[in-house]
Amino acid sequence: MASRTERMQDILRGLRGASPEIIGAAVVSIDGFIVASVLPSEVDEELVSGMAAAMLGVGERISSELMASTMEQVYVRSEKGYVVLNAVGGDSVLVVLTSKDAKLGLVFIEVKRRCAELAKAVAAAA
Amino acid sequence: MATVHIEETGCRDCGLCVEICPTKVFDQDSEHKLARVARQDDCIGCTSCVYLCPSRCLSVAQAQLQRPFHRLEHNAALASRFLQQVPATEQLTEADYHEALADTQVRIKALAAALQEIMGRGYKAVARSAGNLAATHMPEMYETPRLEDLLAGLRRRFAQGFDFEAKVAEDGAVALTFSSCALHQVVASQGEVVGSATLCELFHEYFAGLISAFSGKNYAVATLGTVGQCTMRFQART
Repeated sequence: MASRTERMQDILRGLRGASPEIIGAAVVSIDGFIVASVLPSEVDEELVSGMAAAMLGVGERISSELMASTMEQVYVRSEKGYVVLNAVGGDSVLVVLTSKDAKLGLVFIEVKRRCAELAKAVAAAA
Repeated sequence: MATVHIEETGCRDCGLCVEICPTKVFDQDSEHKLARVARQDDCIGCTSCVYLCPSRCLSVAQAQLQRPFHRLEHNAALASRFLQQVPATEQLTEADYHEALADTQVRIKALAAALQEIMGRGYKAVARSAGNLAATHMPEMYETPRLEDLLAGLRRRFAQGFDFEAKVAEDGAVALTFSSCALHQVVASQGEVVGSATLCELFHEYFAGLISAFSGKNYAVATLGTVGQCTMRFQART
């Protein structure tokens, strides 16, 4: 039987395979640890995980302070592409890197679907 | 020809420029002791005054460097005297110590509170990253392959403010029991619970970041006990 990490790794591979514009993805815990990752080798996983956890924290604070609501998603647009962060369950975040040509609507649908699968994988292991 | 300019509002009448200038370009006015450029034409553009000015209110334009006067040893000693590295420690009183401690406590507590306020749950990840970054400033630790030796090295590095006993389990988990902690007093003075206060958690994560960076493994931290002494367990994540 596949371990939790292997199951999450499979889900991330499926996400990356869904669109050629998705460059990589990772699931990061709120403590800043990489739980599963299909990031390109040139990406520093430690750095990404630290920044993603920090951003999840800031996103949660902004959501609760300004909108009295829970955070669902943070996205960053740069000249070269997008970084989408989506909460997975209560203690993790899915980080998705895409190129600038990505159709964001499609990416969001895919992210939402995969987040539900990832949340199940996290819950099953808990 | 070099042109010296003093931003008068920045001058705090220390007189260092007057003292260091090899060609006596400056004078101090008799009333307020503020420096003023008295002999502009004598400036040789050594920039010693710019280098030394603690207020950074001096500038030298169109300078053609003549000699690195500010690197001469006796001038370095002058800078040292101004910084009061030696005399300050000798002249400190117990009241100074308590004032400095209280000031530091407020600042460090405010920093921790701001981090938590802004970062929410992400503040631990920031502290871990700080540990990772700080590790690069201790290059000698990377040459210590044994975990026990690494922890002994960290104990030496932190000896000014912390002391701990380290135990390494067979599975590589590390247990640290702190018999002395510089943050203990800071946390206690604010009426917070030692070991679980934000500042404590930041330090624990910082330490986990350090151990992770040096060992090449990802260590997660759990606080085991905080009664009297803080005990933490650092477990490598697979």
